[in-house]
Amino acid sequence: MKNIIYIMLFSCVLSIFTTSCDNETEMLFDETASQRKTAAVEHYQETLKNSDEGWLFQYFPDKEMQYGGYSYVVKFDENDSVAVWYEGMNDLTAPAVSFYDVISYGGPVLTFNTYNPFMHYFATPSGAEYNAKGGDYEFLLMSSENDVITVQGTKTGNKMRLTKMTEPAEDYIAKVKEIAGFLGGASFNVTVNGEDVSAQEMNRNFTFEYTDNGNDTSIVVPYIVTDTGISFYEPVEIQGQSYQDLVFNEQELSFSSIQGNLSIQLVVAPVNLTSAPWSLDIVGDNTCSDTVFNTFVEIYNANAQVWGEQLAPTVKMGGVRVDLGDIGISFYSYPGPYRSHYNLSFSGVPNQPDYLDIAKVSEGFNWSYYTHLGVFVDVITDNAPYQVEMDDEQNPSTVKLTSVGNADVWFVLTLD
Amino acid sequence: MNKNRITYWLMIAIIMVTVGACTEEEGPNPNVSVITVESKTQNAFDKYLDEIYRKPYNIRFMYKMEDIESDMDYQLVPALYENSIKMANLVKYLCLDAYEDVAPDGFLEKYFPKMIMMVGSPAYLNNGTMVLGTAEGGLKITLYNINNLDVTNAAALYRYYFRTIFHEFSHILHQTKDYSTDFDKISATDYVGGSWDDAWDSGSSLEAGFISDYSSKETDEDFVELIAHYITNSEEAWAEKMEAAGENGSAIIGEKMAIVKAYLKQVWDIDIDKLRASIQMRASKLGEQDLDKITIE
Repeated sequence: MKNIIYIMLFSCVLSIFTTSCDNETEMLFDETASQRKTAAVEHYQETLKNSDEGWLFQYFPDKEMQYGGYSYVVKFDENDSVAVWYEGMNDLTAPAVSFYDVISYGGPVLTFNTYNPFMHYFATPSGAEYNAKGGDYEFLLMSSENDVITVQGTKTGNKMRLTKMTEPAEDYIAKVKEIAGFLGGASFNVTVNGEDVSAQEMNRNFTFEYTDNGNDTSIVVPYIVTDTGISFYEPVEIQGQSYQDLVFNEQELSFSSIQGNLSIQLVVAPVNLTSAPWSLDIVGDNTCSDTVFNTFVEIYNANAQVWGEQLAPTVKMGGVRVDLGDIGISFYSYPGPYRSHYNLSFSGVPNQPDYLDIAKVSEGFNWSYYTHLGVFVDVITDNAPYQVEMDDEQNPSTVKLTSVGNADVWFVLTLD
Repeated sequence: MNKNRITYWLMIAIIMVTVGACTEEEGPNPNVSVITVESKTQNAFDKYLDEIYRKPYNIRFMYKMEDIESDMDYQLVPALYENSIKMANLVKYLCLDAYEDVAPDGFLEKYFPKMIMMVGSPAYLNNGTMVLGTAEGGLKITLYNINNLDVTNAAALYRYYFRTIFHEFSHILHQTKDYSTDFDKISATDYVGGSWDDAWDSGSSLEAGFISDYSSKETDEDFVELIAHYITNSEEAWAEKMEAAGENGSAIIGEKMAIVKAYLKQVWDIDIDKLRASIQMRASKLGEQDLDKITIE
């Protein structure tokens, strides 16, 4: 018995030592981790520099992409410096130059490591925006193939693309700015397979609302302006069809999908009231119809009754306080004066180039104290759209709006 | 010899053989590093920094920011290259050279923080206030708001950058050799801790014997704030402050300053009045300095 125990112990010890002697560890890679890291960094250094016209960088700041996307062109040179073009720049011949580097940080990372007013625009904080606009300036380099480098923002995690440019940066950015110019201030008439889809646009995000198999669906789609139209951040499925790139037609003022049948028709207002304040002088000569005048008298009396204040007989409309984002209608109540504001939208009407639609958006500054003025706002919005007559088609300073549905409602606005 | 003994011996022999067999023939080659360091080309500014910071003081002046290496509590952007050059010259002229004028040999090399980092934006907190500078363990001083640098405004230079540098550097000194505990007793019951920023009305901290609101946080902050404010104010400006502090405030500050002066003299062989004179003289000649230079004359 004892012998058996010894033999077992002996074989056990023997087996441990013999197996522990295997030194033949197989290397998974031919190079050390450090060598591979350096090789990856060098690969991207070379790739980035290897483009005469630079790279188109389709940049999406913010985790939620609430500002949509912006086009940059970045041109890397031998001396660690990078020239940056951006669609927000005015002089396209003057790119902003700063330094860049490709560093290793859990993978190769492209970093813009000295300040560049364009590249860091969405990342620069202020007292009001201590988190800036959530822009990245360091990007994990994920892959490069077929002249496209895929990167990921280290802060937002947003995936973005650098595409090798084949034309000068100025030319590309100029085309982007031109198309972006058409989008500003327009409203949109969207159809999918010929059916109307409700669409709102704000900060380069479209909100589409439609019915899919009987379900009310609402999707928010960030987009970027390209040299030929617009491109959604990622493919969007609407009623079973996938959409991403839309081509702009300047004659028809429309964007059409390459695949499927999505069309976005721009509806441009006949007059832009939103970039400056306009005045409606209630007691002026021939400045408003009796209906408008009488409604004003009604709210004037209501205001005296509620607050014992006098309502100023000049009502402000349009871009009342553009600095505060107050677009709509404002009333002034004396003494004070106290301003109360209701946000309105001023937009075009499809197929009616002379019509202006005015619609309620939301209650604004001080409105909760002055809800008794709402009757006047109701008259303005309930009788929209309006036929627009201007003193000067190019630079109007006086505009007469006459309700299309009710000839008894009209008023004249004068540019402040 | 019984059978058991034979078994024991046999086992020991085998164990020795197998253990011996485990030594490796090929060790790692000590001449080949497994870490590959990429050699970066130096630009003219890098070479200049080498000459004025690294060689004499072993200080790394960091003007290229790596956000992933910086404070993730804040949204920050890098510094403008042009402003970093100005700042490199300013820190050298207004700080290092000023200490060099009055401090014993080898003082800066040994004690000055080894890294100075430039950050373009201020470090905003979510309440709209901003952090002016930070120091990490006496090793790294971070200066914010470099993109708004205005070299013509000495008061702003002191406020945004230099008081921070002097403040943080002084922390290193007292952390190396502590000051007298007599200092702690002077305002012992008046320190307010974390509520320093809303504990005082305008000017009231001064009347209570604190050179700044932040001084009232705790004794260490009080100590270094006194140094930083003393050397960044001219004799006249300091006298005005003492006047504003009133009888009580100026008496308390005077008592603290006596300890500060004695400490710097005895422990570090630095005459704070000479240091102040050097800084003030240099500040008065700031306009004559070429702050954009990146070559050694």
